Amino acid sequence: MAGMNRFYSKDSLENLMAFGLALFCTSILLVLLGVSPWSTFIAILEGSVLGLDSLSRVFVITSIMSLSAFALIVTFSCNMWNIGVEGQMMLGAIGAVFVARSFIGDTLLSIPFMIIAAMCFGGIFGLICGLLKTKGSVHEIFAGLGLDFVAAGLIVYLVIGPWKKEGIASTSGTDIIPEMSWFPHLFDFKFPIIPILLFGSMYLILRFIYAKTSLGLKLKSVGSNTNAFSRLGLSPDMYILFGFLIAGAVVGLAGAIQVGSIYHKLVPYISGGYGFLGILIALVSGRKLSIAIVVSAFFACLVVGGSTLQIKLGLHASLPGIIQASIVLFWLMIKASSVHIKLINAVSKSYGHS
Amino acid sequence: MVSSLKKMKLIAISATMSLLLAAMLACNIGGEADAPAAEPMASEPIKFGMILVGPRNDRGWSQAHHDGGAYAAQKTGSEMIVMDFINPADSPDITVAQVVDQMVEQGAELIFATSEDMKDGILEAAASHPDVPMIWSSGDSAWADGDAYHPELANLGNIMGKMEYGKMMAGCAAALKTETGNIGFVGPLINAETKRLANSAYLGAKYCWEESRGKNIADLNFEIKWIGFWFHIPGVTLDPTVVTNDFYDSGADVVISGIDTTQVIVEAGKRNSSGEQVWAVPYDYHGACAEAPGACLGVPYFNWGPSYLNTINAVANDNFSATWKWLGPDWSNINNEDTSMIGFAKGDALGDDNWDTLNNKFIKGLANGDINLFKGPLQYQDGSTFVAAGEEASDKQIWYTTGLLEGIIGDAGD
Repeated sequence: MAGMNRFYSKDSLENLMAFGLALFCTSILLVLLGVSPWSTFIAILEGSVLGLDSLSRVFVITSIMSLSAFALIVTFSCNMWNIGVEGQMMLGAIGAVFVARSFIGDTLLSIPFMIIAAMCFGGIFGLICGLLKTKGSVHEIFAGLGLDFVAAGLIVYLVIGPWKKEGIASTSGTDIIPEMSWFPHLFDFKFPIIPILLFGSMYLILRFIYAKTSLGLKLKSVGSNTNAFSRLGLSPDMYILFGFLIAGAVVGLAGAIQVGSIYHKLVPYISGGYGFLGILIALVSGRKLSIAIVVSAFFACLVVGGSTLQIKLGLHASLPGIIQASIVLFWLMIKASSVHIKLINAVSKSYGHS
Repeated sequence: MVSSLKKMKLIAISATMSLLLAAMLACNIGGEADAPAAEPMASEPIKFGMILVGPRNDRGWSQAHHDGGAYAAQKTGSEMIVMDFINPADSPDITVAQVVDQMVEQGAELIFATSEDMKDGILEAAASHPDVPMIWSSGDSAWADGDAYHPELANLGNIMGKMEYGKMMAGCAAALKTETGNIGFVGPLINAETKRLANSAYLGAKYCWEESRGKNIADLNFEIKWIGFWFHIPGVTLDPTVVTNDFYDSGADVVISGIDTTQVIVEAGKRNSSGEQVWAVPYDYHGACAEAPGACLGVPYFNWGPSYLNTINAVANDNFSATWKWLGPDWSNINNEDTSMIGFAKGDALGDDNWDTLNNKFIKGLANGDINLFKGPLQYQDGSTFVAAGEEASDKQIWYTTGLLEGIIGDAGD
């Protein structure tokens, strides 16, 4: 194996094998559903990365998914399950729309304030989840789930209540926000510069926090050994709260992107399930920030390319979701059973490597 | 020896897996959409896109559009590409404008966006693709006298049916059948379209209650409950199944559907088959009564085929123009699939006598102009005037209805 390590790391080889097996199992599922895996994967590839417009969409969705995964990685480092990530994203969207609908919505100040408001709203909502955990002894999974429902209800209330269109009571969404509040893009193919800057800078900030600051060390420590953390005279609760605050602020940015780059209004379920997908991405990526971006990009390709399957192949609208879920499920099953490692070892032995 | 055997087994397994993978990748099972059968062409066939808000087989609004597109495709030999479930709850990953981008990229020369909910997306798409003709069904962006006219979008036209007539027939059927005098109406969201359709149903019910059954309007209870969207979105809208059952539990024996999907007739069918004397009037799709024939009084439906066929021919012949069309029934035969935009399919539960009254008196009266229910005096719930005494409502007054009529119980969304 020492020879093999000259060319690739053991981890990346294992991940590649697990990925290949997950694709293989998904292909079997597709055949059972009466669908050609070859046509499907080619259509997904063509519909995602082989066109500038679709590539721009891949970038936007990668940004949203990465921010969701980052938020999960932060709370995972404190050994907390942040199921409330969907609600935090919704609150981020509410914050962004709140600014866009205000008197500065039609000015140059709008976008920076939308971003700040999204982080504040998302962060505070994350903090509430942390407070329920640390002060109310409510398990963070139940607190997060409950807060997701609260956020969803709040959006419906706003959409058919105070922010409803004039003379209309519909859950189809609020009025479109002023164009000055739309996130600008570059070139004809709508290169999404703001989302990329947001998730790129958040990646660098989090890398810095975890690699260079005592805060990052403490966040990781509180997740590793709470007792030792307390004996050192530090407050675990405080750092758990920090974790939720940071996570909420990070994923709040994803809500701002949904508003500024995609919908340009507030709609129910504006989180689009990306928060929950972020949980899977964080797990699949081994809770590593850089790998989370790669996995997010892969899922973004599935999402964007998958949306063309209906048009190109006449397949059912639910199929892209089935493919996404299957790949994740098979990946987790393969990792848990270590079948990919057994296969690598068997291949190595059969070719005389020790 | 053991090692060699293991090695051989491994090679055999690897080879089998490779063959399986190669076979799966090579085959193309179910990967192509069914092509519509070619028919004699009225013009050059084209490729067009159909964007549906719900599933293409919902037996409601979306299926009516899908079938209309299929009719036009068959008549012209054109190819229809379809994307359904295009709404933020089912497809949060994609917007209407992005769907249009994809369809145009696939060669679509004409786009049908078939929901009021698609307004923002189709306006954006029409501006992005000024050379591609588009139809926003149920919209008013091409109405020069309308309140939301977009003269800059010369490629975006509108088609809508005068379902007001259909809803009047629905209301009349309900009033002829009800034994308790309690009629429920399950409404979608509240906007000008849904208010004018609810008013139409009420006016039809009022007319037949008074004129055909000779009863006092004070004894007719007509109540509306809105679910919040065109169809049920769990966690976002009210559940139409629950709303329908609430109506029946509170004494209504007929419920009229105003939503895109079939929950009302389905629930009526369940209760009816268990012996309850309750009925329903579904909406949108000519085959909706098939969900529960024994409980169905009839269905007012859209027949989009002829108007979509005309649009395809116009595009193929290069004479498309962005106009606003609000098309009524073909009064010579409202159920003529080649000519009538609005139809009413009789339900088994209506009964022959009631059908005779509905068809030979009410519908005939609407057709020859003897019955005009949008004639004043008509007042809204708050007492303000909708149509003054002796006047007839203009298209604009009807289209931009601002409230529910006096006599209707329910929220007008003010």
